[in-house]
Amino acid sequence: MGTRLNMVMPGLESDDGYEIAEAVEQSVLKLEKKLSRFDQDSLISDINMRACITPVALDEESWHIFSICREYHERTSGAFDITLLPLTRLWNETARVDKGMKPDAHLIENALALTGMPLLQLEPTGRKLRLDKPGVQVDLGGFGKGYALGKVIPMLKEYGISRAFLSFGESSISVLGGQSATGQAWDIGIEHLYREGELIHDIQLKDASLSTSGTTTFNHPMGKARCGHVISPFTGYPVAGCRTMSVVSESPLEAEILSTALLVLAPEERANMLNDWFKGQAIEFTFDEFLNCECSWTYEIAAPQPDKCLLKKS
Amino acid sequence: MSLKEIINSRRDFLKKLAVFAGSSTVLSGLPWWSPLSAQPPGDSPSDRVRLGIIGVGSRGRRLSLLLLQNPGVEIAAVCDDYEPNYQRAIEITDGKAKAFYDYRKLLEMQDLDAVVIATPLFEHARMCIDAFQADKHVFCEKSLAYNFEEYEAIARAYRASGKIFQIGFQRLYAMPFLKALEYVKSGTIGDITQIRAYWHRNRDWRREVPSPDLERKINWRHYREYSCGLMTELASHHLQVANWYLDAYPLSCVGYGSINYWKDGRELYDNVNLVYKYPDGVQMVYDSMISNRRYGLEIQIMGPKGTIEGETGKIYAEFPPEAPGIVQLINQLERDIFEAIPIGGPSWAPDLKKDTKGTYLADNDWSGDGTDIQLVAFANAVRAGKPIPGMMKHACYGGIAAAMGQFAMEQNREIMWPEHLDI
Repeated sequence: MGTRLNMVMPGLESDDGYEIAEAVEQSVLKLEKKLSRFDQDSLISDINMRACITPVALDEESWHIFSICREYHERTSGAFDITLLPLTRLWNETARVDKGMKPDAHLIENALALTGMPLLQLEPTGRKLRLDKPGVQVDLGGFGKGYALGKVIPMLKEYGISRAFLSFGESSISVLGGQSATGQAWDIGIEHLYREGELIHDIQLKDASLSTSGTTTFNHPMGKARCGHVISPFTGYPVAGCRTMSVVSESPLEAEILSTALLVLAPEERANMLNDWFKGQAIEFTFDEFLNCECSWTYEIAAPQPDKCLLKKS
Repeated sequence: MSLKEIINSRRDFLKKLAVFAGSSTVLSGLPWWSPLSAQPPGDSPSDRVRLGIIGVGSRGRRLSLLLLQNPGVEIAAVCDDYEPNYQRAIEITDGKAKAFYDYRKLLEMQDLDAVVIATPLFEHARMCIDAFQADKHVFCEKSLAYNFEEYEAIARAYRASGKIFQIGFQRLYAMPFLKALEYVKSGTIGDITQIRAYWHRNRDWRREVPSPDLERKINWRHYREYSCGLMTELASHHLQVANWYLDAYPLSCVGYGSINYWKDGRELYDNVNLVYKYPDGVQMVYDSMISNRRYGLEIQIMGPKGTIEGETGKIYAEFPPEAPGIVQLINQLERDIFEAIPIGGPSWAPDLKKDTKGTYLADNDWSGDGTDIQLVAFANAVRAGKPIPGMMKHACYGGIAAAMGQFAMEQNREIMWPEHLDI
């Protein structure tokens, strides 16, 4: 997944800690072997290479993963999309968004024509995946970390762990229990997009997950942005502005998916999309050209255990 | 490109090599690199060393082709007692080299400076000894000898002759292995606690035989009378590297071997598994097989702070630096402080140089596998008439370790390092 998983488990004998860490490592590496598009032996590489020619058989878990992706694509009104690779490649490899350089419009249009979940067919007979056109590519980058955390948390519970802090590249965080033995929540600070160490907000987490995504279209002489841009599956262009979206949910996967999907949707479309099914909180910060930031949008619907998940404004 | 053009471009290469060898702090500490600091030879015939190649099979051919490109070398004689190789040797040298079937006749040539021996293992000892006694400098392919006694005899003949000796352990001249040595010596991976090496192929390792009576001559690597098979032909390379990095020889060795797949009449094992005991409780675990090539070849040098993989040329840190937020979180937990941890952000770029992908040991691979450079070193040493220090020691340590492995498997017992040998 191109990043690092950190686990902090207070009050544990170090031997037990290493045993658990080893088991978690094996499980996550196994998943990465399947889901990483950077590993040429992975299932994703196999799909990207040949699913446009012949349907690729999926094992039970992979079938489940793609079914979830489809479900969240529908739930997010198309904002979550795992077929955007031709577009992200085009923008990342041929353009410098921060310098105002764009790919040619016809290239964007061509790439856009190779994206969209309807081009990915799941055939229940024989549990197979087919891609409708050559050039269509699958990338589980905005899914894998949340999915992996969702597998690790039950593992830790099985080992009897009641307090843990898990961070996948610092953008996807899950916690078990509280930071203190007496139940005080884990206090997570959201960092300024351009200024390392400067907190713009803090979030108290207990038995919940937090995921933050960001999109920037410029760098600033006073600081380099900590993230790239997010491409809209609707237009094929990067999402405008310079913003972060943090989502708190009981489900690490849902937090990860929504932190990107919400950035893609216009603020007025977001609540409608979430109202039917999402329980949790989301907060967006927008940065101006002087790197000042303000909270530009929030959403909160109590999770089943509201006392365990408290969002407070900075 | 014509041979002349190749030689001219080689002259440039040799100039660059000389500058590099003279400027590198790693290399200046390695005595066997010292001949490479010499300036490239000129065009005068007196600048050229006259070599004889004994054994022009596949390895001998490769060495000959490399030597032909060296402007400071003239292949003046070739020798092979197998007709197709004999003819090939004449072809390679354009008929200019004097050709022999009997190496003793070649050694009688008074105007020959040195010989390159690339024959089957069982012939190395007598050829080396005869060459030293005929006042010739010697380059011999690995492994140097067939058994312990032969090592002693070669070492004695070498000392008595005062001639130059070079062994075909080319990793001594390969850049990733030299950088790896630097990391080992500087403590980057900590003290070496284990070495693990393997060499896996999936083929019968046979050569085509035109008539059955030539089977043993051509496929000598499979017959005990001529070789120690996987141990001398492959394992000796990694044993040499282990000895080099540990600056020691193995105290003892145990192991098992068998023929479990290529049951075609061969006598030598098609799979071997060994453990070598080194000083200070360090072990080297080695295995080799020729019925599966999933894992290829590698030597893993392991210490508490990192791992070096010599063949892929990478180093891996055991403990990449922690993400700053995590360090702060742990500090706070240990002191019962509850403050917001600056950790939630849109992304965090991992330090790829130190993560699981590893870091390349050398940023260039011009040294290839080292074979080319070690031949240049040999030719330069012969031209200058200066010995290449350390080569006989590497040849004996690596080769004896390989032979110990073979004996351990055959005799089904622990084989101790032959302390009594005068090498």
